[in-house]
Parts: sequence; structure tokens; C-alpha cells
Amino acid sequence: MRCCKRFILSMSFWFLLAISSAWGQATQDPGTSPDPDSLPGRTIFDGLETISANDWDTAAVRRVLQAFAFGGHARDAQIEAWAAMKPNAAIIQMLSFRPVNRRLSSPGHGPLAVRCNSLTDLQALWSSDDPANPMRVTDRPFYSLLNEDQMQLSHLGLFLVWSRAMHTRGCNPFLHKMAFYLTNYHASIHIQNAGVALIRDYYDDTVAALASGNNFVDLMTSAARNGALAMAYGHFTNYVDPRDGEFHGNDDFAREYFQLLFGIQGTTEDVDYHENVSIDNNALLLTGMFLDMEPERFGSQSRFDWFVSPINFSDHIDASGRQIYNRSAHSDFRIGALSCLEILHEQICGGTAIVKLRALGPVAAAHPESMANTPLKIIRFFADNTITADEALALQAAWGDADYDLLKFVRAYAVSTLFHSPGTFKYWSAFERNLLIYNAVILNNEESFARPFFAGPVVQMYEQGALAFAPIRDVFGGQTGVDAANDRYVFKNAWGANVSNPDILAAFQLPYQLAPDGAPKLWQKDWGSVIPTNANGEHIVGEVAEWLWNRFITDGGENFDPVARAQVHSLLATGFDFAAVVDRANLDATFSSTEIVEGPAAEVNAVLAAMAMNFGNPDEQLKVGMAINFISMLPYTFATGGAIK
Amino acid sequence: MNRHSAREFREQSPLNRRNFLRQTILASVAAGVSSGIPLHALAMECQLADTPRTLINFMLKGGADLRFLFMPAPGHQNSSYRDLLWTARRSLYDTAYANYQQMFDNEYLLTTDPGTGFQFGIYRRAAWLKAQFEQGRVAIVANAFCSRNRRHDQSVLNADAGEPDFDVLNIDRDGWGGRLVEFLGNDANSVELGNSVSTFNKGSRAGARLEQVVHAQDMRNIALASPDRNSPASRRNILARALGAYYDARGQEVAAEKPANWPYHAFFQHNSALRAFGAMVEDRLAVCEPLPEDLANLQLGSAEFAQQCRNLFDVCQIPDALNLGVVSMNYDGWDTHNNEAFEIGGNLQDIFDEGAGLATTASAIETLPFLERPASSQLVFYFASDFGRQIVANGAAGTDHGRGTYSLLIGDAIRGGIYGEMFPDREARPEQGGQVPLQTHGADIEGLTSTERILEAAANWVHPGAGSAVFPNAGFSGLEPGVDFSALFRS
Repeated sequence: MRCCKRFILSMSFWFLLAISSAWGQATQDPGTSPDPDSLPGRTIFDGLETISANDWDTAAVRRVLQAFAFGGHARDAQIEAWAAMKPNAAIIQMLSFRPVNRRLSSPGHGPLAVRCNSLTDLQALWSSDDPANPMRVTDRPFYSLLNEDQMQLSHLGLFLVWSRAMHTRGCNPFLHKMAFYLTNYHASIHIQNAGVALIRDYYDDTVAALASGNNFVDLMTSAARNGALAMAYGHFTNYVDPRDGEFHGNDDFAREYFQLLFGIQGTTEDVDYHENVSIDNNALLLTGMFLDMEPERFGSQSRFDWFVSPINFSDHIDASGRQIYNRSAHSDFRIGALSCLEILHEQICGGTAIVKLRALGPVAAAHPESMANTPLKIIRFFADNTITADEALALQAAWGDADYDLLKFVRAYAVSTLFHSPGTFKYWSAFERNLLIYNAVILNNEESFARPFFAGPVVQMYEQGALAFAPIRDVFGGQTGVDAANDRYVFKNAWGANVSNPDILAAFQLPYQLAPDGAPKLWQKDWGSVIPTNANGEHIVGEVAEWLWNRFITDGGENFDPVARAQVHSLLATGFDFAAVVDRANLDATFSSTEIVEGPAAEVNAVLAAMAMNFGNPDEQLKVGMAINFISMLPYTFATGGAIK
Repeated sequence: MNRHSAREFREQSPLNRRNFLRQTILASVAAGVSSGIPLHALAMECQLADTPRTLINFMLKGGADLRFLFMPAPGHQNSSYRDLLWTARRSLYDTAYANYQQMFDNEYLLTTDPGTGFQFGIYRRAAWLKAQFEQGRVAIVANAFCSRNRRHDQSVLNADAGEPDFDVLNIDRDGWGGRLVEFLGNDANSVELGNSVSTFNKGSRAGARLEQVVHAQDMRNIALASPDRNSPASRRNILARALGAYYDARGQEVAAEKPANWPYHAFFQHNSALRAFGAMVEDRLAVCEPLPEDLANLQLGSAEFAQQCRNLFDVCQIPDALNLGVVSMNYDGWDTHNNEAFEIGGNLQDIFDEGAGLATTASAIETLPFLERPASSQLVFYFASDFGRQIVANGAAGTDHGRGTYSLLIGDAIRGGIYGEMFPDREARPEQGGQVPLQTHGADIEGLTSTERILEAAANWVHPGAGSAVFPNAGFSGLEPGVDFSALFRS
């Protein structure tokens, strides 16, 4: 049993709560127990203390969506509904691995939803002439699976499809963020080492495994047996010569299997044992993992594109006519199922690599280093860059309670006081920041598909050092929030995107066609359809500003200081910056918070804030866009939370 | 107040003032915002300044197999060693080679240590490095170690920190470059030329680790987009002004109001660094030497490294503007588990061949005007990597993670030569237990000399006394018997 006494108590308490309430939401009767878990008003969910109903509000809901679902695509009414529910009930609706989560991201009507769990299917649809294809005609060729000029698979199509899927209603952004984490950070590989077909399969396989309810051990075993990893690390050619038993191969993945997939660095192991027994024997385990080829897969003429995953671990002839010896090239194949290797102090037995991998997965996952490091790795990625020692203990215990159930663990954390505390802090990567912004900007799928790809987040992400499937640290993963925060060019390029091309975020109408000879269509933005009016049925600048701030920055207005307010009011009311409104002869003027709260500038600000907007006028849409350009370049869109611990 | 005097404004009642303002605002916007601000144009000449003594930390990311770069001459005095080494590593080379001599003749350049006459091979596609060595400008420190483990992330952190024994995987810490510039003074900077700021650059103050870091990923494009003055009513200019005014006003306020660990300070610092400093750098460079044609058109396997070379040239044009302390460069792609010769060959050629990255950059820097000391005489490259690689090839024509390695230093100030036993005989002798390292899967180059020792000497070259301050444990760290770094630098 991994749990300490406190968590045995916690579990018992949770069990009792589960009996008393379908959602485990009951509040314990006030008592005198010194156990902090049993203090009045507190509920326990899988080892973590759940946020109180009082603290669970729309800001908390948005905070969860930002951290775990790229902001999600839920409408305000849904967010308010979740905020009105008990947190443990709401989180089950908010975060699920179902391919479609209509509350989080409603696909509307049409066939999109059924294909949204596969990038391959999405590319096939979005590049096609299928009448159901919602993509603007001019963009379709960019999403093609095949680069027809070179008759090989298109890298560009893959780069574009993931990004667009993340701002497409109907694609569960939590499911995809988890799959993105697993394939681009946790068990990361680079497209240049795995190729387009395999890395896309790896992502799609991971999405499918999550949707099927696979636990962490299953997910890591699936990754370890995946052809994409075998290709990227090179162990797909590792073999033991059945004639002399000599090993031919490398120990790259034999080492990284422990470190990257399970967080086992070997620091608690005897160094020689870890190096010379566990890693060396794992290299032997990873033999007999040759990949099949399927000639002209997706129409490609490049043999590199013909590799397929998952690996067939038998001796067989593949579709290309090659004899594959995955059984007889495996370590000790002659003794079949009796073949055992000592790894992590256990005998790992089986006649093929996959049988042994299935046996090794639970051993690796239960290793103390894995139990200690895996939950921290997950939470650092999603939610908190600075985890204290006490917080680490709580997370580790919760991970133990979750019994490798990733969804259960993440849900528990997402409604925990640990996450919803002033000390929780995270820098956003350029993936996260740009998707948060675009998911808040784009109001529906018509807009999403009417925007050419270069008017979406993918170009901004790329210019800010973030390209899906091309992690900057290769197997050590993509750009982190800390990387982005430390990189002045990320800031510079983000600034350039908003300042030099403000019309991208501020776009309010775009013509498009859904068929080459089809009727031209015009997408038009209507911020008035989502920004609430006040009791008088008016859109007042100051109220619109507050709404925008909360949509883009989930701090409940904490950082919406007078200087920011003045600029947002000015841009919304006039389309001009505050200095231009106050004194156009002094455009470089700056105004301190004090000057905006008191004195002549305060009067100007007050007037601006009180002005009414008329969203029937297209210019007003543009003004909102200008305000968004301003808000989204403030420090508070580069990070979330209160303080570095 | 928008063509109206403050007095006119104050004299009206609050209600009237608001109506007055509303009308004025709308009228103002309708009329548009006029230009009339004088163009910002300063006539300048390139301002000469000497480059201070500068260490360039050049990280070979992935764990470089520098045993591949250096091989014994066919006439190596210990023929047993040579033969065992050939057996251990022949799978790295073309299978058509019949013997060591044939391989060596095709893959290596026979190189002579000018100080001792010792002969060995430098990989053929590193011809510039060979020439530099034979001119006495390259120190090869054999049997060096910068970490005790074989994990990329931890070892890179060890190398960046300059602490081989640091065993916590925490990147929120100082690097040796950051510590060195702090020693040099509050104005000195660590200049990162690559795409991301490494731990090497970071300072010792938590929450302000980037305070003395200049990120110069592209020296000629380092400033924030600012109002262009020609069309003040353009949306571009409106946003540039709004954001600029915000960061200016709030930047001062949050510096005073917010605690040091407030995470958003970083972005205000980015703004101020990029706006003021970036504009100044661009202005200075605009009137200095253009990039030499060879450097501007440099085509390498790594475009990122080519850009770093261009950046280094520009850094040497305006070292005073940067308050140059140390420089950080890197080259990725050294994790050569498979097909090592192909992978590492291209990398070595990019960096060390005649006409490639460093040769072109060094030639260009030599042409720069100077006051008293040419920049080319003030730079020393120090090459680091995660770790070395195992000395016996694996079964995939590559090598797996090891520990010990070679350290390289290049520069006019270096007293060239080989420090330590370049091809240790012990690798060909049975160890305790009877195993011969060159016949043993998993065997390392034995790390005897801590990189702290090397870097201590390098830091002292930059500034006397810096070594022990930046590397306080150097005096207790490993040093191969017979090796002495007291004369590693010429002055």
C-alpha cells in the first residue's frame, strides 16, 4: 500500500461521502476532530481537498477550462451552470475523454463530430470536396494528407490540422490537450525522427486509448509498443541474432522508457544495477519490433511513409512482401514464454516484446520514483510551475489513490483547493497562450472555418517557437511555459503579431466559398450575440470591457488596473488609444494609475466607460477587436495565477 | 486636452464636462489624429569599442561523441590500444574499410601537437579545427567530466550550472555564465545567441534570473514593433501606443508595488529591455559594418547555428552596448545512438570545417576595426556537452550515453595542446574484475578532470579572482594527475 495513514483516512472518508452522495459532495457534519480533512465544510475527493461551493464560481470554472482545455468552447450560460453546480459534479461534465463533449465544445450539426477523434480523418475531410466539409475552399489543399508535388505525406497538413482542431467546436479540447501532452511532452517524439504517418498515428492512437478509458499504465505500454517511438528512437531495428544470441541495437529507448514514460531516473537505484541490469535488459526486451510497411500508404511514393503502427509482433510477411522476424528476433526466442529478463528487480517474462512490455508496465508504474514523479510532471504541464514540497506530497498521494486513472486524478486536482489557491501559478506556452486567445476570439465554427489558416493561431504559435509534433527538446518535449516566459523573442513576436497585424484578431468579416463554383458566403462577426447587455438592454463600454477581461484573463479582474481599463475603454469607445483621446497633440503621453483615477484623465476615462456601443455598426466589432489585441498582449495572458512560490 | 485648454476643461461642471468630453472625443476621432511629430532620425557613426575578454559557452546538445572527432594515428605507440579501439568502434564507419589505416586515411587528418610532436587524427570534415590546433590555439582536455550521470536533462543542467555533482533536476537556478557576469558587475550581461535562453545564462537571484541576460536571437531584429510615426491613426500605431503607454506606466508602478516573486514582472522586463535596449542595438548596428557577404550567405546544415554566427559577428561590433560579459551558443543533434558517422559528420563539418560556421565567423570578426585589441583576440570558445558517450559502439552503428568526454577551448589566448592522456592506455587494460573497457559494452571514458577546474581557469582569464567566486568547489574537484591549468591561458 503506497498511501500514508492520512490518505487511508482520506479514502475512508471519501468512501463514506460517496455513499451519502452520488457525487461525493456531502459536507461533513461539524465536529471536533483535529484531522484537517474533517473540518467543517470540507470535502475530500481522491486525496485532494475539494474547493468549497462558495469559492466555486465562474472564475474558477474558467480557470479550469484554461488550464485543462485550452479555454474550451463553452458559452457563458454553460459556464454559469457549471459554477452553480457542486464542483465534483461540474468537473465530471467539464473534463471527460469522450471524443465529443457537447457542453465543453458543441459541434453543432453535421458529420464533424464523428471524425474529430482522428487527425487523419480530419485531414481527409478538410482537404476533400465532401459536401459536408466546412472548410473554406481556398484552404483545403493545405490540409491534404499528400503533398502531391513530391508525392509524399504533407508535413504542413499535419501542422495545420492539429492547430485548427483545437479551435474547432466539436473537438473535445480536454481530450486533445491530454493527447498533446502525452505525445508532445510526456512520451514525446519529433516528426523528423518518426515521419508524418507514424507520428499522426501515434497521436490518433493516443486519443483513441484515452477515449477508451485506458489507464496510465495502458497508455504508457501503448506508447512503448508504438511504431512511432520505435522509429524515432531507432529500436525498431534492434534484434538478438537467434544464431548466436548477440544483441544488435542501441539502449536509447531502454533508458528513456524509464525516465520519460515513467519518471524513473534511477536515482533511488544502485547506479550499476540500473545501468547494467535494468537498462541493458530493457534493451534486450525491446527487440523484435520491426515495423510493417504498407506500400503506397496514403498514396505516398516515399518508403518512409509506408511504415505502419501498431507493430505486429509475430514472424510474418508484411504487405510489402518483407519477411518480418519479430518473434524470432526477440531475446531468447527459442524458449518462448519462458524467456525472462530481470528489470527493476522483477522477472519480466514473455515470448515477444509486447508480452514483456505488458508485464513491465505495471512494475515501472509502481516504482517509487514513478509514483513520486509522474503526478508532478502532469500537473507542472497543465497547471502549476512551482509545486512546493507539501503540495508534491498531496499530489503523490492523490496519484496513489487514483490507481493510475489519469482522468480521475486530473478531475480531482482541477477542483482541489491545491489548484484553486493564490499560490498556484503557471506560465503559458505559446501553444496554450495562442489557443486560449483564439478560443476566446472565435465565436463559432463558421468563423473558425472562414478564417484562412494564417488568420488562426498556427502562425503565431510557430513564430513564437511552438510547432506541434516538432518539440523543441525532441524526446524531452515541446516548449514549456517557463521556456516561453524566459524567451524575449516569444514576447517580441507576440507583440509583433498584435501590433503589426491587428486585423487578424480583430477580423469581423470574411468572404469564403464552400465549393469552387459555389455561391460566395460572407462570415460576419457579432460580438453582440455573446456579450450580455445590461438591465437597460445596452452594451456599455465599461461593462463590455469587464466582460472581455474575464473572457480572456480569468483573474476575476484582479489585474484589471486603471491604466488597462482606460486603454480598453478608449479602444472600445473610439477605436483609439487613450492618449490620442486625451490629447492628440501628445500621442506619447502616458498616464499613471493615479492620473486615471483622479484629475482630468479620470473624467475622460469615466466618459469613455459610460458610452454605449451599437453592435449593429460593423465598426463596433472592429473596436472590440482592437481591445482584444490590447488585452491579449498584456502580461496576464502569458501566465495565470498569483505568485511564484 | 485635445485642442482645449485644461482651464476650459476645469471650468465646466462635472455633468457638462462629461458632455463636453463626449463631443470632443467623438469630434477628435472623426477628424482623425494628425501627424506632426518630428521623425526620429539621428545621424550616427559606428562607435568603436574594444571587445572585453569574453568566454563563449558553446553547448553541443545531445551528448557529443568527441572520441569520434579524435582518433589515434595509425602509428599510435600503443598498437594494442589502437587495435582494440578499432574493433570496438569499426561499426561506426563504412563497412568497406579493410583496416584501421584505410579508415584513418579516408576519415581523419593526421595532426601534430606543435608543443610535443604527438600525432593523432582529427576528423577530416573539421579541417579548420585541425589548422587552429596546429597553430597552437586549441586546448584539448582529455578525460573531462561535467556530470556524473547519463541523463540528458540532468547532465545539461550540470554543464550549464558548472556543477558536476548537482543532483536535483531543478532548472530554476543559476548557471555559471550568470554567476560570472554577476561577478563582473551589475552592468555586465550574458548574451544568448540561440533560440532559447539556457540555464547557463541565469543569475543567482530567484525571480530575477534574467536581469543580466540579453537574448540576441537575431541581432538585427531585436526591437519591439513601435509606432512608425507616418500614420498615427493606423491601427498598428494605435495599438503600439496603447501597449507602450500601458507597459511604461504600469511597469514603474508594479516595480514599486508588487513583491519580487510576482510572476508578471518578467513581461514588464521583457518590454523595457526590448523597447529601449533593442532600439538602441538596432540603431547602433545600422551604422556599423553590414554583415560580410560570406556570413550573410552562410548556408549550413543548421540554419539556427548560421544565425548564431551572424549574431556573434554583430555582438563584436557593439560589445559596449551589450555590456558583454559571456556569450552562449549551441548546436543541437548529438544524440547519436544510430548511424553516428552520418549524424556527427554533418554536425562537425557545420561547426569546424574550413568555410563553415566558426571559420567564416572568425574570419569576419578579424576584419572588424578596433581601438587597441582586435575582437578576435578577446574571444575564447569553450565547448560543452551533456556528457560523453560510451567508448564501444552499440549495435546500431552508434554510441550510447556515457560520462567522460573531451573539453575543447579555442582562441588566441589559449595555450594550445593536449591536457591529459588523450587515448588512455587503461582503456585497453583489464580492470578489476578482468574486463577490458574497450571490450566491454557500457564502458565510459573515465572522467578524471572536472570541468570546474577548466572553467575556473577560464573565468580567471576573464577577470582575476572570478574563478573561485564562480566555481567555489573547483579546488576540491577532480583533476587528472599531471594536468595543470595554470598556464592554459597565455595571459
